Amino acid sequence: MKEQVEMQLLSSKLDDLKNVFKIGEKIIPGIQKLIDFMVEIVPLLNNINTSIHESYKKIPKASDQIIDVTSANEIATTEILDRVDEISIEIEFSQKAYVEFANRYAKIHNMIEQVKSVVGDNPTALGLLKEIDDLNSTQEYRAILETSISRIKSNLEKITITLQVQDITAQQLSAVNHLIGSVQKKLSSLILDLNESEVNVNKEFGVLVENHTPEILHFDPEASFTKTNNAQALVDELINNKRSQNNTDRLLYKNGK
Amino acid sequence: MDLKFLIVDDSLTMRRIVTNSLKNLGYNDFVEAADGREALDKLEADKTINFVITDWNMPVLSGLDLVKAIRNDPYISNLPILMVTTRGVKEDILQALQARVNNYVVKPFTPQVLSEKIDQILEMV
Repeated sequence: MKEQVEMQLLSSKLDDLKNVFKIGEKIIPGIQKLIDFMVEIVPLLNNINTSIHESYKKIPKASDQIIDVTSANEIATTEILDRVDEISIEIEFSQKAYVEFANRYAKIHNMIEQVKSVVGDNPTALGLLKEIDDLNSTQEYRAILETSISRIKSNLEKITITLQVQDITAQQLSAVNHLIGSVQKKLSSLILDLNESEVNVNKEFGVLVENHTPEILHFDPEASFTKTNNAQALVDELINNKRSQNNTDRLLYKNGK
Repeated sequence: MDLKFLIVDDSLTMRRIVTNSLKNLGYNDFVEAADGREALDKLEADKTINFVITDWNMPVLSGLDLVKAIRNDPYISNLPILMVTTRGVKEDILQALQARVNNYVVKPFTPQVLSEKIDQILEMV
């Protein structure tokens, strides 16, 4: 009886083993496919890894180039501002010279008037004096000169306003640099992960560059240069609201006293 | 009233533009600082400064923190402060007003706007 039970148990175990082989037959092609996939994917991962390293290596250069652009822009803007200053000074000189010129004309005109009273009714002399006075007249040119100076001043002012774009683009470039820094940070952690994996890591790139991305931003990522300054209108509205609120508060406080 | 301005901005260009605009408005006395920390040092060293024009986004110490520091210092807490910045969203403006700036100009600005805001501040102080 005991032998019969043992035989049944043995038979059952053999059936189990048979089933395992049957499952194995079904699974093995799947495992084989997985192995084939891994064989194909590892070089691909290595390529990705190399690309990541190369991109990572290029980031500091890109970042430096952005800083160079900002610096070059600032130097160029300063140069333009120097020229604007020089032109402004020249205009001031021209204006002074023009005023002096106008004063002299006024004196000459007065002198001609005095000479006229001396020469009396001599038509030839009076005609000549009128001719001299007309030639000396600056009235017509004065208006042209004044308009011209005013236009130059207005354009210089516009140039100065436009040059504020340098500060705004500098902030935009800082925002891009910050973004590049964040990408570098992500790549750093990716490289570290790959270093720990089975994927071959080129040891040349193994040392990670310290990331200098500041935690506190000293630029405005939303900085923009627009001709219509709607934001100023919003500021004025908010300040006026605050003022009228303060006035109301003061009045209420006074009345409450 | 003779005004001595402290112009605080990390951008050399902006300091220059603000200074030029003020010169055109007839002001001639200026001190410059490239960040909030340097501005506080200048205020400490020069007690004749009586008007501050500051940017917001700066390294070391921001313009907003500079405003707070000035308002918390009993010796200089009443200094008129004009903020000149690119930050033009409502939340930022309210934050600056909360910190007690006297007025606020959004870049890019015209000399007329700068003049108007300075005059408004001087009328109130």
